[in-house]
Amino acid sequence: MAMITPAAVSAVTPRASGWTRSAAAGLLALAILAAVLAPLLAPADPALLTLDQLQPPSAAHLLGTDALGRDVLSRLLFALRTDLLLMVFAAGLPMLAGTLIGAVAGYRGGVLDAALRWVADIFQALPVYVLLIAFVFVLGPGTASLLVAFSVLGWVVYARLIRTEVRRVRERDYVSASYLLGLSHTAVLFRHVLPNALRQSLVYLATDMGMALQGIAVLSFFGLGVKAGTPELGAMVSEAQLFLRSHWWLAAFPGLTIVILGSSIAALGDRLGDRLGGRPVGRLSGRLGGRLGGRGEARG
Amino acid sequence: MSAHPLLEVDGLRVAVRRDGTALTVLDGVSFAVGAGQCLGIVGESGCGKSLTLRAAMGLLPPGIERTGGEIRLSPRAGAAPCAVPPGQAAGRGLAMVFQDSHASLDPTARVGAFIADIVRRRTATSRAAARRRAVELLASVGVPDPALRFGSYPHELSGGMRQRVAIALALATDPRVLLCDEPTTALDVTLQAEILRLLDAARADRGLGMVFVSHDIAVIRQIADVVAVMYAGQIIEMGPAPDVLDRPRHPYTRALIDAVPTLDGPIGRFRPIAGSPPAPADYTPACRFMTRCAHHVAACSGPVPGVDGLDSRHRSSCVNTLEAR
Amino acid sequence: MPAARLRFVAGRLVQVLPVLVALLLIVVLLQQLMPGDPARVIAGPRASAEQVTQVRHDLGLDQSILAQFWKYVVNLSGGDLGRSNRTGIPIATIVGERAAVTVWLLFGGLIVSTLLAVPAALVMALRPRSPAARVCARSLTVILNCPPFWVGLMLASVLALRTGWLPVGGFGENTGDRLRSMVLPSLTIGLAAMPLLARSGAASLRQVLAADHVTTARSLGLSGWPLVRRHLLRNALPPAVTLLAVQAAALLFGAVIVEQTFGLPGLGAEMVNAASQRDFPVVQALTLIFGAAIIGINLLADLAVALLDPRTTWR
Repeated sequence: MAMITPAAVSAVTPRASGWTRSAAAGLLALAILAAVLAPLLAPADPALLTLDQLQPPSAAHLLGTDALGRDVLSRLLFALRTDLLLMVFAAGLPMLAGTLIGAVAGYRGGVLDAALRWVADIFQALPVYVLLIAFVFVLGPGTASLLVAFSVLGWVVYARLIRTEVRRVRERDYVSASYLLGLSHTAVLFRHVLPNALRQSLVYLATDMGMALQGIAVLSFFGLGVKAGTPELGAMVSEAQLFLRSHWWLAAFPGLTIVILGSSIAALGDRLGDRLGGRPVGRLSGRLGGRLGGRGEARG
Repeated sequence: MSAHPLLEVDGLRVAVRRDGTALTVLDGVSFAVGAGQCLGIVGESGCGKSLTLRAAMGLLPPGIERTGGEIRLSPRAGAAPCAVPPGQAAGRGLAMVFQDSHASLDPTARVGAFIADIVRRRTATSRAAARRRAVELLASVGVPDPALRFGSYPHELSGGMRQRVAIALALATDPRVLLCDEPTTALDVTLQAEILRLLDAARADRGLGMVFVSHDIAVIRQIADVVAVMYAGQIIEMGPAPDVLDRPRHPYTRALIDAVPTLDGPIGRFRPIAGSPPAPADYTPACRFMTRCAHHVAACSGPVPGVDGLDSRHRSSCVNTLEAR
Repeated sequence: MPAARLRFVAGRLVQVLPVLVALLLIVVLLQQLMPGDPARVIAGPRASAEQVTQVRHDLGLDQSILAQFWKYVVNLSGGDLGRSNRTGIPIATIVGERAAVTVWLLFGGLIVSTLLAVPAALVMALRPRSPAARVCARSLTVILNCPPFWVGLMLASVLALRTGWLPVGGFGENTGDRLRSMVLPSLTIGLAAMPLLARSGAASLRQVLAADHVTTARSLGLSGWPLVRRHLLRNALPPAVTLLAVQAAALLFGAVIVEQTFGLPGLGAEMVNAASQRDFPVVQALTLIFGAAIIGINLLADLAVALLDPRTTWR
């Protein structure tokens, strides 16, 4: 209605305040710094086995030692490294693949575009998480198969998004004007269409990173992710399971790290979404939005 | 017309709350409506016409609230109006017809059952009696085959038919005053005329007071006895319809009338108004039309008097009124 | 118009068909992605070349992909999901034994997530600018980013290990024990699925509340329970059904994680165990079952939404 002002509508959604955002940005910056500087900061070699097994936190081992006598703080720092790196790739590769596929299909149109839409429809109806486990299993544990599985299952959202944007932008005047000026297809695509279309993908990326982080941790927890022995947050929780009664902190800290990392990224993603004027949505919520928006062909 | 007006809106102020600050969007709006009388409120979109009606009904959207003024409603025929708390008048003396009949009717409610439900809430009659009354109401607003249409869903009806149903719903509450928020804007011209006739008949038959909001001067000319012109959250001119529409005192009213191309008027009279109205954040006690006005004088920058519309004398807020020049 | 409705349902089934075929194809083709020779993997490292050839022939791996696909579909239509590599037990039997645990767990998770999400959604939709709504919104972000396996362990640590109120894991022998052993897993799944439900619930509730027709109903003097019952609930029902269906995927993934964490003998734990012991047929069959279940639930939700909306034209 004309009378409901934009101010009133935006006030309806609770948003992260400046304080929350600053805290999130600070925590994330701290995590990245710790990950990058892990070799310098770590008090011990994360793989060094000692006989000081299952020590409680002390001056020598700030977070104690695990069942193999390894320094937990050092492992945590190196695990941050593993998880952040994997997260960036597990969320970034699908975006890269999806962007390329979506851009080409959207720009060329025709059969290619129709095929993409068909494949995307089917992919979006498939249970992503269950297939994730199946894929990683088939490909065998390890980071490579993790990243392949995430890419194979995650590209669709980006491809669909970019394709829509490209088709929309393509219709606009300035693109046809560039044609008249004699720019090649690829030049038009890269100089004019993609920068416009990429902005929205970035909002998706922020939410997907949190989901990727959890996915990596879950698979590693089950022993399907990183190689055994690699410092990784989910794997650390898994190793600590047996000592839950006596050494709860062994499981608590790696998990808490995942929660803090994920929440910080999500809070910053919200901010990105606000600034770019889009709604932050992840794979699941994006799908949900589609389903709630269109009541399907049933609608009269 | 009885001695007392049915509805008095006195010094109504409405503000949008945002991040702890309140932005005033309606600034001292006052008017009165008597039995059988139709007050037309005209103005550009965004001037606060619809907001005025919603505030009177106590149906402001979240984040927008009444910050001042009083709504007074006559409790029964012939009685002096008394103050009603926000929201208490809806369905109890005040009813409203909305612009978009597609969005404003519950898609899951069968129209007849909905009307019967409202009837039963008011009169506590039997189901069968309420049903009969609903069919009568549907017939009275010109719905053909009312008994058949009783079980229809809104989406099964045409736009004009839906608006008739919306009017029947409003009438089912036995209102003393009917507020109409651009009820004909979404309809084509022939339907527009039919709905206007229907509303006019309802007013005459039931002695309803009516407030009719529109941006369309032609429609206002057709239905209103008294006209109020709104600009930037204020009434800037008000009076009997012929006076205001034919001898406007405020340059804005003049401009609004001139902005409508007429078939019978002299060629070249159609003049759109240059510029756009100020945003609520820029509202000042000075004349808000000043920057777009060709006739502004020094006094326009000072506080200008508001229009107190509680009686129907012709007056305007312009300090340099057209008639005085 | 029952004929039109039947046509509509049939049309929906036809639309789902390509998705099911794609799922089947993926499930069958998964084997091709396995590094190395699947027959060798299945026969074991100590098997002779003849044994490997025999296994390959037995499993139909020496046939074309299309033939393998067809064979799988034919077996499937006869209820034959294959046999476990580890134990040789027919997978249909395993599913029959373990499905109940998973279904009960999903049910428990659904109850918990609904109980937690509905108040949060109500607060965020009805009092969007209250401190409580802000707390809810922040908490949801944090809960969404809690890995369920970790939440499960922490809950077990606090509510089971320290107090002894509840079993830490496993599945009891009698009904009482079994119910008690479901509590922590249900809590964990419910928590994992709840943020999505609360957020989307709040969004659709806000949409329904802000709808023009609600203003109309209020303008007619309706308020409180009559307004909610006659005009809000009917309109909020289709999005609610959709939300439940969308939640199914999240709950199922939660079940896979939680069953393993708590040692519940359900389908999810079976899938993870099979995956870590490289029991391909079991992973294959369970992927298919989970996938089909989610697709089926979404189909049912679509049909229910169509039935609930009077504007459906049954084309």
